[in-house]
Amino acid sequence: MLNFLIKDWYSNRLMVYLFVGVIVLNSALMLGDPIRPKELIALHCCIATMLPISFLSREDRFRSTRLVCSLPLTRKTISQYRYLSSWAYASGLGLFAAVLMGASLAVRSELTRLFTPGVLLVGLTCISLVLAVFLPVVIRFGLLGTIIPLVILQVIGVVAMIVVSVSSRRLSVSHLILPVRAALDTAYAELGPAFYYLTWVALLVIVNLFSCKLSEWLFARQDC
Amino acid sequence: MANALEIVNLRKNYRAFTLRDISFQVPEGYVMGLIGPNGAGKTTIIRLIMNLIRRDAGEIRLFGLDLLEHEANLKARIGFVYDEPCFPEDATLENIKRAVSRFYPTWDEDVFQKLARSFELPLGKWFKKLSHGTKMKFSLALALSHHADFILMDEPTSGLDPVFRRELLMHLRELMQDERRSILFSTHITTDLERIADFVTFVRDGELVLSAAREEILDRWGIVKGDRRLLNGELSGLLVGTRESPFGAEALTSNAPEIRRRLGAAVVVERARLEDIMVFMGRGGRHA
Repeated sequence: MLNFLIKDWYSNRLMVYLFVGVIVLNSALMLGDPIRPKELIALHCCIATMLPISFLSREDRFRSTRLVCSLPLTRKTISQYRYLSSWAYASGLGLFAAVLMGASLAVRSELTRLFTPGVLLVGLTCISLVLAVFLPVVIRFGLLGTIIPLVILQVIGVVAMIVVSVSSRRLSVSHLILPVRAALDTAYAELGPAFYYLTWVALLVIVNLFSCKLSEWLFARQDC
Repeated sequence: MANALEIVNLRKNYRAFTLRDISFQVPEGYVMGLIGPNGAGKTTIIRLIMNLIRRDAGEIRLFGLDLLEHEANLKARIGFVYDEPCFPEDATLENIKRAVSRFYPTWDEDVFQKLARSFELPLGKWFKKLSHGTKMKFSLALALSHHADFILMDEPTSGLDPVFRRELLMHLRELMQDERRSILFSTHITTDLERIADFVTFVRDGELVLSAAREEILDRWGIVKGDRRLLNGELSGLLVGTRESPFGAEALTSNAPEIRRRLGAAVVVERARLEDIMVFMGRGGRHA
């Protein structure tokens, strides 16, 4: 696994520097605004997950998937290592963003706002969901795979707009989000904080395991 | 004689091309050349050996072990050179080497540095800044630096100048001196094969045309030159790709001794070179 992390580092060092730069710049630009830790961590974790996804799309661009497949590893191991490496790089960059945010909060004596389970959970959720959605398609379709989920989201958006425009009822995004939020609040109240967070993390683990298995299956059938 | 590589009834179907039931062996300690015209299936065979593409049928055994069952261990024993080097273009050669070398437990940094000096590799340069020849040299240096027992190369000499090609072949010959290593490489340059190959496998249109010891091929195959009536007559079954000219006709035969026995001095039978075999067979002739 360590070899795979190091391979990704030596093959994509410029991308790592670029993403670190983006996070630093973004954090600097937000210095003047009031800091909302959950929103900021969500944004930075989404940016951070694009780092390992960019590794994979570069691999496709340079046709180095063939290089990876010729290494003394099985396809299954390669898929699993790609997940672990993606998690390591995304969470590492997410952590770096959190440290920058922590520094900004510390200056304002608001550091405690960062260390809440909610902030951690938002970060984990963003990394988990973005990786779980993107990795199978990027591993299977390479560069094209980075576009597929975005196109699907676009199509869903267009369909939703059409539904809204032809529907007799007035619908808005809040009609969709509010019930979800209400359900989560109910779950939080009924389960208690500890069990609620544990359940949430368990769900993220399940989603990622499913995504990893799907990637293994897709990658095993891929010609390099 | 144990086999380093054994391929049995290997098959791969594409929409426009099928590799049909290929079987051959590379004995341990020998060099086999894989030849054939463009689109014959050479690269497909090599990619199947590396499990870069999925086979539809057949078996590949390396050192007696099934490749799919022991993939990781067996790949660690293969030195692989790609037809088109596929490394990250904005990484330096040094960084690519660092990334790749860690996967091979038998990696020998001294060997790599020696090869890098001998091949004059600019290790600090970005991969994309290199010429095709230098990219191939780098790919070769990586493949030869982990004491691989089996060296598998897809068109390794393409894009290399004749001087370096000769040096490379000498280097490969040196590698073969311990009689433990085996090499399989595909090429269009048949003179390379004549220099180092012990065995030759010829594929065309996804089918195996012949696979035999080079000396046996050169002894048995010949170019027959003579009167066109003689060549078009009862001997036509022994001949491949007859070519007529104002002065007579010439054809390839896979049984030169038999032609000599039957026609004696009526025809001239010259020793065929591998290139002759490729050219005549490439014209649609069948192995007689």
